[in-house]
Amino acid sequence: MSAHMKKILIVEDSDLLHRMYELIFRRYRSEGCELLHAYNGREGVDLLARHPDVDLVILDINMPIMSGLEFLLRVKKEAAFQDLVVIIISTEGKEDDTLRGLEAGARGYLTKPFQPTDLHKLIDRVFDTREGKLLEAR
Amino acid sequence: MNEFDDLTREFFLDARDRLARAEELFLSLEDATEPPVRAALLADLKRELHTIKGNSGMMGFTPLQTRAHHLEDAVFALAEGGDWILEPIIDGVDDLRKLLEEQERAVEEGGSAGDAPAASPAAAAWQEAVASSSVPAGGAPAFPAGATADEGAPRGADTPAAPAQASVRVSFQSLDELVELLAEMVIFRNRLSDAISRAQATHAADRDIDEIGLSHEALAKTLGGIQDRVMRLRMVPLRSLFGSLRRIVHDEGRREGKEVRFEIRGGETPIDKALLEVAAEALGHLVRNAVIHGLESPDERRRAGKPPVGTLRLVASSRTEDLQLEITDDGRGVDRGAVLASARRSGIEFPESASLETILFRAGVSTRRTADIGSGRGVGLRAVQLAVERVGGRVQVASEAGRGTNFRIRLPLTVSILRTLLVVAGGETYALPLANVLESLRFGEADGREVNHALVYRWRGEVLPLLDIASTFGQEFVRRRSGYVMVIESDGKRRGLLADEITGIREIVVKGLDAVVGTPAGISGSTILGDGRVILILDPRGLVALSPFVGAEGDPVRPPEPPESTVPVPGLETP
Repeated sequence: MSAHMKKILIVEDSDLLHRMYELIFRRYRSEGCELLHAYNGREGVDLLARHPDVDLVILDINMPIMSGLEFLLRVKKEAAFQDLVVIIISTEGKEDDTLRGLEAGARGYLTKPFQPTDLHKLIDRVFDTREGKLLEAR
Repeated sequence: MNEFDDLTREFFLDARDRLARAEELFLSLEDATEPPVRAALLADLKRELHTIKGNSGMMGFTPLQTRAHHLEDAVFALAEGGDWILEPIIDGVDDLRKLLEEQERAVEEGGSAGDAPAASPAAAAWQEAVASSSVPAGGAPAFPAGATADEGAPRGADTPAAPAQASVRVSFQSLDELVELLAEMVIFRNRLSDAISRAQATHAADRDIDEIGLSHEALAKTLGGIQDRVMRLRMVPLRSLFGSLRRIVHDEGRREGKEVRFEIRGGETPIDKALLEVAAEALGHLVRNAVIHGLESPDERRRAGKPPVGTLRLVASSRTEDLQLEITDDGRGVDRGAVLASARRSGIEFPESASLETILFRAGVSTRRTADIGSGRGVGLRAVQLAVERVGGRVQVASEAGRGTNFRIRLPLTVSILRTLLVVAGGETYALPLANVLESLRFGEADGREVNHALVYRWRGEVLPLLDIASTFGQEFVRRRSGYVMVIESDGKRRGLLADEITGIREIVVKGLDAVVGTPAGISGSTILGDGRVILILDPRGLVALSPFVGAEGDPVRPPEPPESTVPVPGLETP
């Protein structure tokens, strides 16, 4: 596993899925990575403001109260977050939003339902293509 | 895999909740006519189904995901078209629920999610993904406190081990325990209050005593605040009942061939969780009754000049002193004459002045003309009244023949449970608060001594005045040969109470915390047992004051005259 992350922000409205991500990211947590939890786009923006050193955002594209897309557009306006890696979690039927998200600066996407290993592999690929910029420990 | 099992359990809980909400939304759609209301309901509905579908997929329950997907499609179709073909959708919800329950059972029986066939592909993938962390098998920590020292806990003060919660889950048992402790604190507070009053009376100028008095007042106020809040913790919104009520109206309406419009107001009204069941039972009965008996068929209604669709309205409201639930229908109303005639046939004769409640709620009275005895419909109303009164509430009925019927249920805002000892004395059962009982012992003829016309009892080096319960409350004094003595304590004084039998420990429901005016000394109120019997609750403080006490000099002192009790005890009048 190549990506070495210190902070991952999960923006997702389902409580159940947050707990799922806890399990999915156990391997990173065991290496000292923190998980931050936001339940809607607005909370996501707040958390990012307080933790600008987040390495990865897992973003649910389909949320009420500031959707995933709104969060992304808002965040990518800031110079500080141009390099922030965002992975969109999409569902069938939301392809348009996903495309717009990628255009707005998301680095990758996964469609629900997905296997934990799918997410791990995607993360590895995304960080590898950044040519080791994030491989150095912060 | 421990954590995955926990997650699976969470998933089922979450799915069931969402499905229940989806069902309520569906049934609300039946009544919704304005486009913006329909649109909002549909949007919420889509969300719930979409989330169930997504979560099912993530957890690997493909059949559930597929079925939820179909339901989602059906709702989309509904949103597009104008026709309300809700029947197949409601059936679809039922199917989904059945499947959910099946899967949940399969998982439980399978031991862990890993064995259940439906979940195994995902479970395998999960186990692989999660197991590839560096934690040794033996040290697998329990979810959600997964970040133990073994794993190298995530650093940083604001990373919670579990998703940050804005609330905490507390079991109702814990709340009940709190409530019991509070009830005991009230007893101690009362004792303290009395002691302070006495001290203030004899040491009027003492500033320390004043200080104690003021502090006690402040303490009592805080205690009251805690009590209020704890009681309120047990409140849940009434809304959680409404889904099943709508279901009843819908199903019975279909079965009876009647068209019913069910309006509900006051979903956010809070009700004590302990009362939820009673409310559910009562409302369920009344609602069913209204649809079956109260409302007429569309033809009959048209002939009577009424709109073919009957209206049933449930309004819930919170008042300062109680909670009110009103069920009103615009049906045929109660034909007093018919009910009296039916009662007469069963051999029950009511006086002309009898109230509607009296005639309707009498067991065995039914207005159902056809032989419907097996369904016990006539007994239903009596059961409702009993259940409601048992928790300290009331049911009232008003009706106008041809226009409709109104049932009004009043329930106390909170319910206190008091643990008591049930004893039998002179053929009557009494409830004695357990908190005041120090000990219960068998009593034999040799145990009682007479000292200057007062009965006393030797207990652990003390000489306790004895009170015979039966004769204290009206019966002839009979020198007891055997039975039981309960050593009680109140206000620092100890007494022995004599009874014939001890039936056991029973939790009884006490109506609110208000004093009952006019009860005789030694009685604090009454309660209704599960079998419908009304029994008296003994008041230890009052009893202690009644019995003779031994003065410091060692000679028995004449007790104060017990107050005259000529007011009838509420709850003891026979119906």
